[in-house]
Amino acid sequence: MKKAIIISALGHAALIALLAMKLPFLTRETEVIEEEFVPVELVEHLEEVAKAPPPPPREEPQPEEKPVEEQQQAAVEPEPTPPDDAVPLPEPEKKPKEAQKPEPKTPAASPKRKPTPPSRFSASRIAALLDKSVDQEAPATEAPKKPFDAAKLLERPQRSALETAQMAASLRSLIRSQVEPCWSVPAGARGAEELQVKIRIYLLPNGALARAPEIVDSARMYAPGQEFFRVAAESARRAIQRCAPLKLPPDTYDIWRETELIFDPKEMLGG
Amino acid sequence: MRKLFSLLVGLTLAALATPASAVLRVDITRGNVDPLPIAVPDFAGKAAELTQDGSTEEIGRNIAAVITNNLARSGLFRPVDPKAFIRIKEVPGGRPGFGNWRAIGAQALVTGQVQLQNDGRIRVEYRLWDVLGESQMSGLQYYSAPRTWRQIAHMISDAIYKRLTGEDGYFNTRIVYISESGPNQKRIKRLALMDQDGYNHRFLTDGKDLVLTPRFSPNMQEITYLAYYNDRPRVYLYNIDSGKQEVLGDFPGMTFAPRFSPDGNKVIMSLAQRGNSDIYEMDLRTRRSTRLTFDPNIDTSPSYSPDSRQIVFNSDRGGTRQLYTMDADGKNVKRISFGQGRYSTPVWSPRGDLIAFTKQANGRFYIGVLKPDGKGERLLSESYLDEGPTWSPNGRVLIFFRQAPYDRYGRGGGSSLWSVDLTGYNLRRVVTPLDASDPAWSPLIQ
Repeated sequence: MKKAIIISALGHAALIALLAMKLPFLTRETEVIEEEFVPVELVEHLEEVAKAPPPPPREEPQPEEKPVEEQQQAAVEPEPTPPDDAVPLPEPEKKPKEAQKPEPKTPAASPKRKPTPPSRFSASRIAALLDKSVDQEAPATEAPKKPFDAAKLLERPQRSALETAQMAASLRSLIRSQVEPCWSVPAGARGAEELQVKIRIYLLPNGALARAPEIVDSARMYAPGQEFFRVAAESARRAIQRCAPLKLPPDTYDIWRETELIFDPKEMLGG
Repeated sequence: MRKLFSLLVGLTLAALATPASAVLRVDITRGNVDPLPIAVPDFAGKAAELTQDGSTEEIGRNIAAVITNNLARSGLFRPVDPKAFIRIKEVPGGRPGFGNWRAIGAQALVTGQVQLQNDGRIRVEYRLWDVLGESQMSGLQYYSAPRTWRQIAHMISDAIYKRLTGEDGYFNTRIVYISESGPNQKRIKRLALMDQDGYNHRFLTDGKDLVLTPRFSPNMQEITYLAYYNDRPRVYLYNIDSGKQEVLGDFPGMTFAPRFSPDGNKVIMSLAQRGNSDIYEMDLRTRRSTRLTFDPNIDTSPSYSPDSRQIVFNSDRGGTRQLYTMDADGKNVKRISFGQGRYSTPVWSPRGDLIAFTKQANGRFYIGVLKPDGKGERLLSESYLDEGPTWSPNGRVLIFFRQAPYDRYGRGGGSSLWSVDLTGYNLRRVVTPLDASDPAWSPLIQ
């Protein structure tokens, strides 16, 4: 009985933990949709302003009140429909990607856990299982087969912490050397010291993006008054999309499979 | 049972530990400042839909050209050569085929269309697309008389600029300046007004009087300038819409026109009385002046901070001409420039973070900026004679005038307008029909 309760409790804990991990994606998904639905707004002030230069228009503000425009506004309301029809298109494209997400997510974690609890048969076994799932994914993309074979040949040797650290360091400079040329820094933005953008990417063994890059602080992107952050975040995302696929050694795939890039324009803009 | 138990423990730990430990972190601190490649194909229209300003097809083509020109001149965008996308056809109002645009290197795409309405107005719609992210970034529609297409194009340019840089644009603006012509001994100087891109150029005065240093009021409708009337400097207020001008007063010893306060209710100026130039402020509603500096040295060229709380001016009270700030009531005077050379014509940026100035050192002239506390001085341009900077309304670009040296026969000396980015990049000539000096940039036309 007691055991059953403990098991149930642990089961719930596991479930909550998994949910906590997945939930951000769910919320993100809705945000992405919001992004798509930028409404076409009416800007009616134009006429009055534009009238200004040629004739001496003293009656400037008047056109604004013209009832004609109101009628038109009503008539135009349905106008956004064609674009709306066009816009939802991405949804079907995105959903399958979204569905794949959880799978790579968990494995990405597990290999790193591996060294810490070597005795835990379960964790490593899960990792092994999940690794397969990744392996299966790889050929599906037009991955060049050679690096992938190399990965198999090397059979993921057990590394010491020091070795891992050294490899991570060289991977960092490798990634940096590829991403930096792709990054167009948002020039002249104010508050450069607060424009650090963290982006998490999930990579396939061939270095291609497994899914769209995730802006870690995505809530800030749509907050009012955060236009500069939004622009900085978008520039960082573009850099990754431009550079993908990254060329990285397959034998260390377990290290770079999940990578967080921290874009900081301070150095570029600070001067 | 035990196996199940440890499996669950393992699962829990794996799930909890994921985000922090497993991720490779890479700092990216260097990038490039290359302009963003953007494609602006002609806005769709119909050859059969005729207006007084051409068919909607022509208007659509013209709008795309104005937007392309604006974005290119900003230096932050690199419009893709239209030849590269001549074969790409998109359905008006539809979702673009992003692959085609990615293939020609565009990272952003602007699509749009022009439609004639039943009431004779045109509806102009644009959409800005993120080509790599395959999503719409912004979209707006405008209704207006066909002849205002150029202004619509500027407004769309501003919307695109704002969405892609985070800053307000500056394309729907005008520039007033002094147009110069004739021989050096008998120079004709006229007040002239044009759109920021040089179009809609017109002269506001006939050239009989010598006019100097025009300034825009924050409400856009008025310009102050200095004119010599019977050899006495007189300050005029010129209303752009009505074409009327009125005399604000005769100000003996004045060398620069007054500048408006950001709320438009006051002007600030320097006046020489009994051989000593000091700073005065005038309330435009009461026409009463208040003296703000009482120094025996020459104080000139005052300019308000955007919050109206401070004033920057230049003074030779320290021996050479340097920049000083003070509170709006004349108290708390601080010297802010300490470099070699002489500083003049300070102008506070509309975004408040910088002050632009003219600097004279080692026989050369420079346009530069520094922070209001005097730190971070940077020089943006250099020539035989660069002078009189004026800010774009978003505080991002400066326009100034440059005079060429005379040759030994007394020829040359022509002056022209130039723009430069805050970063010191993108120095460009602003084309004017005749010689040009003393530019002043308008606020954004809303």
